[in-house]
Parts: sequence; structure tokens; C-alpha cells
Amino acid sequence: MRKEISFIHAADLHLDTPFKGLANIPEQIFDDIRKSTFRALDRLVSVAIQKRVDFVLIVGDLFDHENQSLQAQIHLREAFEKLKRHHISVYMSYGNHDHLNGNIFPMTYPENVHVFPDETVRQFNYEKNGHPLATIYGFSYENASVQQNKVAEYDVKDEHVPFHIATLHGSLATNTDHDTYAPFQLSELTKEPFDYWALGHIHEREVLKKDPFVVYPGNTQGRHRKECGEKGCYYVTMTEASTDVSFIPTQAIEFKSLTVDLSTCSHIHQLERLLTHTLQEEMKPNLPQLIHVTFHGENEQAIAWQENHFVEDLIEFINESFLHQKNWLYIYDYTVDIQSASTAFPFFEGDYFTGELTKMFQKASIQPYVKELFQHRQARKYLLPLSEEEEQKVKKEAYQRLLYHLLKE
Amino acid sequence: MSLEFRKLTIYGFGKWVDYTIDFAHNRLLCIYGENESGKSTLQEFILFILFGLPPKQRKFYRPKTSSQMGGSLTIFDANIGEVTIVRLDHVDNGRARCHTRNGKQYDERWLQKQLKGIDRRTYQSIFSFSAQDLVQITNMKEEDLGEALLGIGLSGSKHLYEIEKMLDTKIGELFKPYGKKPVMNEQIDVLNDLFTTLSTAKKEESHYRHKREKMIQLTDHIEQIQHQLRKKKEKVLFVQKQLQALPDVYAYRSYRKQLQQLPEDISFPEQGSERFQLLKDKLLPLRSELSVLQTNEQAYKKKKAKIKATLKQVTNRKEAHEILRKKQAYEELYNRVQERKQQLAKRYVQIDTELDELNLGLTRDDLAHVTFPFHLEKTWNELKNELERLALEYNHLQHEQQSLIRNKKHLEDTYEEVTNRRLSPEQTKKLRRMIEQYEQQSLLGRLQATANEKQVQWANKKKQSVRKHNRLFIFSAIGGFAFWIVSHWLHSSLAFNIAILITIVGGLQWLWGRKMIRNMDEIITASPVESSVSPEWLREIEEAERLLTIDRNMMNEQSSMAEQLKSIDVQLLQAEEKERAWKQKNSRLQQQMNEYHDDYPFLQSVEVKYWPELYHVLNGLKKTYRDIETYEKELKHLEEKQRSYEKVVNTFVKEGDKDAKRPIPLQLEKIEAFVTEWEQLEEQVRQYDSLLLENQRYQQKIEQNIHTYEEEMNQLFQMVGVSTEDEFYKRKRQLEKRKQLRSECRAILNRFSRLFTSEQWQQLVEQTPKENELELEQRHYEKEIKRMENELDDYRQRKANLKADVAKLESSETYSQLMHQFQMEKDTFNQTAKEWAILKTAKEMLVETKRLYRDKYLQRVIEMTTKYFNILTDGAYVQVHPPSEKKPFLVTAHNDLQYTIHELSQGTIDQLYISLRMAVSEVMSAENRLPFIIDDGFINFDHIRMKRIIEIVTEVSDHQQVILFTCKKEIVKHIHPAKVLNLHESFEPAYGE
Repeated sequence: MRKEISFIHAADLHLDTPFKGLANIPEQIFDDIRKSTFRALDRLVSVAIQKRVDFVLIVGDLFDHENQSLQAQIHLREAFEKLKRHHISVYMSYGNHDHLNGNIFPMTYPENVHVFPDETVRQFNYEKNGHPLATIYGFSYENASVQQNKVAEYDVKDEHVPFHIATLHGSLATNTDHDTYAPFQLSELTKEPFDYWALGHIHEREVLKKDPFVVYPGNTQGRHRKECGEKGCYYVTMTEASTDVSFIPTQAIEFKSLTVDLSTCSHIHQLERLLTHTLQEEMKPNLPQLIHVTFHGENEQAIAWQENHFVEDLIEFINESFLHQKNWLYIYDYTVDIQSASTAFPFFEGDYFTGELTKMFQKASIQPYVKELFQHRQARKYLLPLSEEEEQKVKKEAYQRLLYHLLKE
Repeated sequence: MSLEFRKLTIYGFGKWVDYTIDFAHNRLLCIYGENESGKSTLQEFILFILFGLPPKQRKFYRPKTSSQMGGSLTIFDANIGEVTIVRLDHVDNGRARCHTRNGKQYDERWLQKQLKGIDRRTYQSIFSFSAQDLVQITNMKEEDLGEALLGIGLSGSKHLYEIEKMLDTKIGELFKPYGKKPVMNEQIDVLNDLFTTLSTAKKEESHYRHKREKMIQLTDHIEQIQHQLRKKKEKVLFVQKQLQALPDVYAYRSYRKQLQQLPEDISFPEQGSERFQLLKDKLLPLRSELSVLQTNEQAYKKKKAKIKATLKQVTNRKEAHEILRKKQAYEELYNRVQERKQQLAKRYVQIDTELDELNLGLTRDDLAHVTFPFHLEKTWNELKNELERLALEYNHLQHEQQSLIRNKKHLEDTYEEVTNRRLSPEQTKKLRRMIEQYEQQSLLGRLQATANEKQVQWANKKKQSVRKHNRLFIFSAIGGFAFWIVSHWLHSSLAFNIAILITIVGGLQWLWGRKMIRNMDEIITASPVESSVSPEWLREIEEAERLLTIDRNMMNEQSSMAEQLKSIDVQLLQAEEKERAWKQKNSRLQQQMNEYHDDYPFLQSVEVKYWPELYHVLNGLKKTYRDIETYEKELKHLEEKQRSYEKVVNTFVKEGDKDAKRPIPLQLEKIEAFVTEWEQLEEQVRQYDSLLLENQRYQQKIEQNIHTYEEEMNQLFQMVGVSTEDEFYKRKRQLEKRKQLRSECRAILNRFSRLFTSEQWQQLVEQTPKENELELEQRHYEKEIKRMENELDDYRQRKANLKADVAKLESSETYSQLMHQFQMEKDTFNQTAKEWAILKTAKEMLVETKRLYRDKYLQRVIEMTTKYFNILTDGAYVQVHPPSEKKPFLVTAHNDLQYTIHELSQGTIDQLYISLRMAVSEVMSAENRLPFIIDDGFINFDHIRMKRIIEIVTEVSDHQQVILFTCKKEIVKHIHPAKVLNLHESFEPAYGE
């Protein structure tokens, strides 16, 4: 018998976790957005069935305790049941977001699902036709974080089993962009003869290393502006000689960032044409997209448009025209980042008011100004503190707007 | 550092075309012109060159007389030297180009940088003021006044306040810390609501786990109860089965018991009881018969003895027999006696009656004496007959005579009548002739009739013969044809010849027939006869013949009647003769009669004709009388015999019976009865004897039969081992009973084998429970079951509810939706918050900057203002105080009195304003002084003040170029002519280069 296995490697499903940064979403796409993580899971299941894989690995963060819904659990269970009907096993572990102790809806999954039960690295044997074909190693987070390096605990148990696959929900010790859990060094992973390191936790897919493969599959569905582009899982086929991995997108909605140059637009209608055209080009045949637009370039009127809500109205108008398609497009946010001779920042110096204003903006912090809201007893519950970047953005915007009004005829 | 205008060249701007002003290094230049002389356009031009104009406004200033719009302004700055700014409408979209002396060119950006960011508005607010500004100030609202003055003075922008207000409004629209209406406050409410709902939904979903656990628990419970329930139901069923089986169990038990009591081994012959019964059936009639026979025998014997005893007592049997033997004779005797007596009596009566009837006075005794000789009867009869004959003869004679006479008369009458009715001789003759004629005629007629008859007969005959000939001819033709066909078919020449022959014969016959008939026709039709008798005539003839016939008849009648009359006369004579003869005979007879009257006197009263009868009667009587005599004699004899027999009888009867007075027949009957009785008894004895004999024989036979059967019975008994029938039957009953019991037991077992196991049955039989115990048990179990079922229902209901809850939770997207919605609302809120933050920052920055700005420049501005104000008011006011809090500007007069701005006169306000503007201009342009443009700013000033302000202006112009536009000559007077440009004088500058 040829020793060969195929599986799907996925992680960070974050089922039913709400998207971030979407405001005032129209009703008709609300459900599409809400269900996108489910649809991504459905697609993953479909892929597994279609590819007739042996098993599916899901390396943590299937859902978020922070926003854990029963729906997520039910959907997950249904997906597993579907896989079961096609005799596909599932090996899953819990990560920092869905750690064992925080689960408020413990489910009984069908018997094709094998869950790593605790924080100790354990293994399951995958058997095909009565022969053990693969051993899958892994652990689940018992609590919201695992700080120690777990790699040392991974030992290949039975060398007669052809394939050894390690699952690990954690991050490279060097990666400080995210919360670092179960940190590891890439070099450590090759110490034991594993054939595949199936990682999870980082939402951006990355093949850290080949031979053996060390792979972050990323999350299955982008959920905010930064998780743009295709999202999905890896389809892995393994023989004793070689390992092939291929990425298969699963996202139901894609996040996208567009940049539109306003330099050539002297009139708002021109902008409308430009934007519509750009969006039409961006449309994908079978995927709804949530789009962030950055307007840049040199345009004197841009601020006036912005200040007079022309841009806002225009986007609303365009959105409406793109929403009524099955694979809709929706501009959920935009940034105006334009150069203006009159409002270049910082420009004014000297004794005069605007100069004073500029000096003021250069040195002042906005915190005292905004604390009225951000420390408001009611409001603060729902507000995220402004980051440095956001503060700067606010400041810049405020300055531009003030100048616009001050210099307005 | 100061910037000054050196030269101004207009190619075309409004009304100005190709116009140049050379400032000629003047620090102060007064440009004079009446209203509508183009002062404002000039000011506008300067601003245009410095700051540009939007295309629309540029169009507005495009001159009507020149194609070019624009111009240049040469400025001088200590840092950069002299620079000419050129701005043309059609070049580079009205953007400025700057040329330095050393030939360097710069763009608008560069210009703006040189102007240090001063824009048109800033310039206007700092470096220029006009009378219009003053008007605006007075129009301003009181409370805004101070702020506005400060605003103008400090920020260089009159929008500052508006911006701040606008920002405030926007901020307020977005959020107010204690508001309800603003967008974000509303969003907070929404979020709060959502959060609450979400929490509820979350809580609800969190029940899921609990509910699932509870459900599993309930499922276990239900299964447990179901199991118990099943057990209980089985028990109830078992109890019910037991209950149902109970009667049968009892029966079974009782059968078993009975079976135990029966002997185990019962031998009984095959069909023993039937056989026995058969024997018994045979034996029984025999026995009963025998017994009957024996009974009879006894009875017979008893009866026989009794009869014999009775017979022994009888002694006079012989006598009785004798009497009885004679009884017949006696009876006959008796009958004869009786008969004779009756006959006698009858005869007596008869004789007496007849005698009475005769009424002849005769008695019985007379009869004994009268004799009637034998001839007497005949004699009397003849006498009588003679008499009668005579009488008859007489009558006949009479009658004959009379009828003859009557006939004679009648004949005579008739004759007469006929004679009258007869025809006369003439008439007769005539009639005879007529008849003769007729007779001739009638002969001819008869001949004719015969001929006609023949003709008719021939016609019939002819028709028949024609038909006959024709028929023959057709037959012969058909026959010929038939033979011809046959000849063809058979190829026979014989047949062909026959055919020809037949045809020929037929044809000949037919021809001959036809000829015959024709001849006959000729003969018969050739005899016609003439006959003509008229009917009238015929009737006359008939009448005549009739009359003649009548007349002939009458003639014959008359002749016969004459004959008759003759004979009647003869007869009458004969009658008379006969009468006489009769009379003789009669007298003879009368004589005879008298003779007899003498012999038998009694005859006198009797007619002769009755004598023969009387004779018979009397003869009868005589005979009867004799009979009586005979009977009397005989009777006497018979009675004697009778009495002797009766004596014997009486004697016998007296011996045996005391009652002997009874009549003899009764006595005889009695004797007869005795005898009969004895005979019967004897007969009976004989019968009994024979019966007894028969009986004995029969008994013997029966006994033999009985014995045979009893033998057989005994054999049966031996087989069964008993000696009596009872025992035999008892055995049989036992056998049957055992069979029946066993079959019952089997039936019961069969019935319950499906319901009970053999162990259960065994137990049930051995320890049969009581019915009431079972019922109690059943009730107990049923109660238990009911309770458990209720419990189960309850659990099931609860489980169903839970299941529904769980399903609802599982299918509910509420929480998920809420969660996403909440997140989005939060994001929306955050976005709005950012917008708010921007606005808020802008506003706060503005306010802050304003405050700083004010702090930085205010003091100096106020100092300068105070200075100028003091000069302008000639020391009337010594101090100006900036507005603070809600207070407007305050001024302190030389007498230390303080006035608010509102308390000042308009002129003073104007002075303050100008002071302020000049101070601001001076302070603000400390580093970068642009030329100060004043457009009729001192309109309301009086002469002194005018002079003072000019002085100030002149002083200012020391370090800042001042361009003063005015329409007042008065002002011009105060200024050095070299520094005045009169727009009306010439387009050329008033002073040379």
C-alpha cells in the first residue's frame, strides 16, 4: 500500500466573531457578513469532501469566547457531522480565544472529531484500513494564554507510523505584532522528525519553512480591514517522498483596500466616475467584497468635498449601486489623504493666528480634549482608546478642517 | 522688515486700463477721488495682484475696453529686494509670476511664502479698514461687539467666532455629556439597549449547557421509569392473567384432587356398560314378564278357589235347570194365551163396531142364529147387476133418441146453407173455358224450360273439356321438354324420341278436343223456343181453378148430407122398440126383491144394490163370531197349562227366595241368572285352569332366558371385578370421571400454557392465591403504574419543553445577530467618536490658539490702542481695557471714570476702533509689515480729530507704508501734496518718476 495521506490544515476560524471597523452596514449585507465565518467553514468542509481528504486539522481559535455564540457551536457540530458522513476525521485543538476553561457551550461532537483534551501535548493515531498511517500531536489551551514554549514537549512517538504531524497554536518568539503565546523558535521545530508543523494563531497565512513544512494557514475569513485578501486553508498531500501544500481560499467575503488618486478630479462627478470604474474593475465573480478606499493625490477641493459630506454622499450613492448585486461591493470606510497647497501641514508659521494654530497642533495632545467623551461614564464602555496613530489622524484631520474653515472665502 | 509697494501697473482691471501708479518710495500715499472714481477697484486690484481672484471674480473685473485683464505690482522687501508680481487673467489661470531684479522668476507659492501666509482676509482684517467696517461694528449686536472687535483685532479673521460656533454646534449635534438627542447619546442608548438585550440573549444561551445536561438527566430518568413501568405492567399483566386463570386454577386443582381419589387402575371391558345395558335391557322385560306371570298365577289360583267355594254352596241346580228347560214352552204358552186374548178382544170390538156401522139393529147374538146359504151371495149379486143394467139401458136409450133428433136438425140447416153458397152454372162454364186456354199455353212453356236447361249444362261441360284439353297439352309439352333435357344430359336417343312422341300426341289430342266442342256448340245453341205467359193472366187462371174446386167440393157435401138424414130416421124407430123391452124386465126384478125382504127383514132398510156387499159383511161377521168361539175354547186350555208351570216355578222360587210374589218372568229371569252365574263360574274355573297351565309353561321359558343373560352379566362383573351392578356402574362412572377430569385438566393446561410458564403454573396450582389478594395486588400495581405514568408524562413534558428550548436556542440566531449588530454599532459609535474627536480637537485647538494668541498680542495691542486713542481723543481717555468674561471693552476717562463701549458716542467708538485697528496692524505686522490701506476710515471725524489721525497715520507711515483712499478734500489738505494722487486730475501720475 502506498503510504499517502491528504488533509486540510486550517486554524483561526473565529466562528461568528463580529467584524471590526464596520459601521452603519446596510441590512441587506448584514447577514452575509454575519454568516461569512460560517460560510468559510462550509467551504472548508466542501473542499475537504471534494478533495476526499483523510482528515482535517483545525489548530485552535475555532471561535471566540469573548463573542461565543451557540450558533457557532451548532454550526461547527453540523460541519463535523457532515464530514463524518464522508468519513473524514477531524483533529482539533483549542487556542487562546477558545480555551477549554472558557467554553460556555461544551458540545458533544461526533466521534470522527478528536479534540486534544488539555495543555499536555498528546497524540492521536489516524488509521486507514486498519493501519496507523499518521500520528497527530497537539494540545489545547486550558486558559486564555500559554506562555511557555511547548515545542520541547513534542516527541515523535512511534516511528513506524509513516507520518507525524504536529499542531501548534502559537507564535514565533520573534513576532511581536501579536500577542505572543506558546512562543517558539523556527529552528526548534526541526529537532524532532515531524513531517509537518501545522500552526495556528497568526491570521496571515505564511509558509515559514519548507522541508519540513511549517505553515500558518491564516484565518479562514478576514474580519477587518487589516485581514484583507484571500483567506482560507491549506490542502496538504503527503507521501513518504514529498509533501505538497496548496492554498485554497475559503473566505465568503473579502476585505480589500483601494487607493484612488484624486489629482485628476476637479469635480465630484469625475470622482464618482473614477470610483465607479475602479470598483467595477475590482469586482469578483463570486465573492462579495468589503472595501476600504484611500483617496490620495493633490486636490484642492477634496477637503471641501469632505467637509461638505460630498464624499460621504458619493460613497453612499455608489455603495447603493453595488449592493444590489449578488457579489456585492461595499465601501465600508474611506480615508482622505490628500495634498493641498493651502492646507499642507505644517505650513503656517509666524505670528498670525493660523501660525499659532499650527504651533498649537504640533505640540498639543488631544487627550484632554476628547476625555469628555472617552471618559464619559456611558460612552467609554463602548469606546476603544485612541491609539497614537489614531490620535495623529484625528489631529491632522482637525487641523485640516480648521484651516479649511479659517481660509474659506 | 517692511514691505512696500513701488509701482502699480494696470493692464486692464475694471474701469482701469493701462494705468500706472508709481508710489515713488512714498511711505504715505493719499489717493483722492470722488465716489465712483475707481478707488475701490484700485484697492481690489492690489488685493488681486497679491492674493489672486477666483475666475468668476476675475471675469467681473475684466475691462470692457481692453482684451487684457491683469497687471503688475512691484514691491520691495528688504530681504528679497524689488520684486514685480505679474498676474494676468489668461495666463496660468490667473496665477502670479514674480520677477526679481536679478531676473529670477518665482511662482505663486513662492509669493505666498513671502507674504508669510497672509491671505486676502488676513490682509484685509489687519492691514486695511474702511468706513464700511465701522458701519458693521455699529450694526453688531452689543454682546458680540467686544468679541468682534477682539476677533478682528486678534485673529485676522472674522470667521473665527463663526467657526467656533459651527464646531460647537456640530460637536453638540454629535455628543453632549448629559444630552439625549445628540447622535452619540442616541447611539449610547442604542448600545445600552443592545448590550442589555445581548446580555439577556447571552444569558439565555448560557442556559443551553444547563438545559442540555438537564435533558440528558431527564432522558435517564425517563428510561429508568419506563423500565420500571414495563416491569410493573408485566406484573399487572401477570396478576391479571392469574385473576383470569383463577377459576380455572381452582377447577384444575379440584380435578386433580378428584383424580387422586380415583383408583389408579380401573379395568373395564370394552364397551362394558353398553354391553351390560344391552343385557339388562333384554333381561328387564323378561323379569317383569316373569313377575307378571307369577302375579297372575297367584291371582288365578285365588280366584279359582273362590269360585269353587261358591259353586259348592249351590244345591238345587237340577231343578233350576228343569225349570229353565221348560221355560221356552212356558213362554210360548204364555204368548199364545196373550195372543188369543188379544185376538178375542179384537174380534169383539170388530163385531161390535161392524154391527154398529151397519145400523141394522143386529146384535152379536143375532149372528149366532142367522144363516147365509152359499148361493145367496150370487143371487143377490145377479139381482143387483140386473137392476144396474136396466138403469143403464134406460139412460142409453134416452140419450140415443135425443142425439138423433139433434143431428137431424143440424144436417138440415147445413144443407140449406151450402145450397145458398154454390156457383151458378154460367159462372162455372166460363171458368172452365179460361182454364182450358191456359193449359195449352203452359205446355209450351215447359218445353222451352227444358231446352234452356240443356244449354246451361253444355256450357259447363264445354268449359270443363276445354280446360281438360289444355291441361293435357301443357303436360305433354312439359314432358317433351323434360325428356329432351334428359336426352341431352344422358345423350339418350330414346328419351329424345319419347319427348317428340309426347309432344305430338299432346298436340293432336288438343286439336281434336277443340273441334268436338265447336260441333256441340252448333247443335245446342240452335234451339230457341217462344213462350209468353203474362203474370196477370196466370193469377186469373189460378183464381178460376180455385173457384171451380170449391164449387165441386160443395156439391159433394150436399149429396153426403142427404144420405145422413135418411139413416137418422131409421135409428129413431129402433130406439122406441128398445124402450118397451126394458119396462118388462124391470117389473120382474121388483118381485124377486120383495121375496128376500121377507126372509131377511133387515134388508128392507137396505137398497138392493148394496146387498151383495152386505152379504160379504154379514158373512164376515158370522165368520168372526165363529173364530171367537174357537179362541175362547183354546184359551181356556192354554191357561190351564200355564198355571201348572207357574206353580212349579213359584215353588222353586219360594225355596230359594222369600220374595216369591214377583211375576213369573222375573222369577224366571232370576233363575236364569242363577244358572248363568253358575255356568259362568264354572267356565271361569276352566279358564283359570288353562291360564295357569299356560302361565307355568311360559314362566319356565322365561326363566331359562333370564338365566342365560345373567350368566353373561356375571361374566362382565367378573371382568370388572365386582359382583353387583351398582359396583359395575360405579366403576364405569369412575372411569368416565377420570377421563373427563383428565380432559378438563388438559384443556385448562392447554388454555394457559400460552399465558404461563410451566413453573408459573406449577406455582399457581400449588400456592393458589386468593382472588381478593390478587385484586389488591393489581390495584396496588395499577396505582403504581398510574403514578409512574403521570411521572413519566411530567418528565416527558419537561423533556419536550427542554428539547424545544434547546432546539430554539440552537436554531436561534438572535444572539449571533445581536452580537454582530452590537459590534457594528460599537464600530459606528467609535467612528462617530472619531469624528467627534476631530471636531472637538479642532474646536479646542481653536479656542486654545485663540487664547494663546490673545495672551500673546493683546497686551501690546491694548497699549498701542490706548496710545492712539489717547492721541485721538486728545487725552480725554487715558486707558483702554480689553473685554473680559462677559464684559465688553472698557475705557477710562481722564477723570478716572470708566465707560463701557456702549456708553460711548459713535464718534468715540469709531476712534476706539481706528485706534484698535491701527494698534493691531502695528503689533501684528511687527515682523512683516505690509502696506496699510485705509479707505475713508475717518468720515465721521471732525477737523481736529482728522488732523490728529493724519498725524498718527503719518507717524505710522514712518515704519509702514500707508495708502489712504479718500473722497474728502479735507483730508487731502492735511497731507503733503506730493503724497496725494488725485484720480480726477489725470490718469497720469501727478508726480514724475
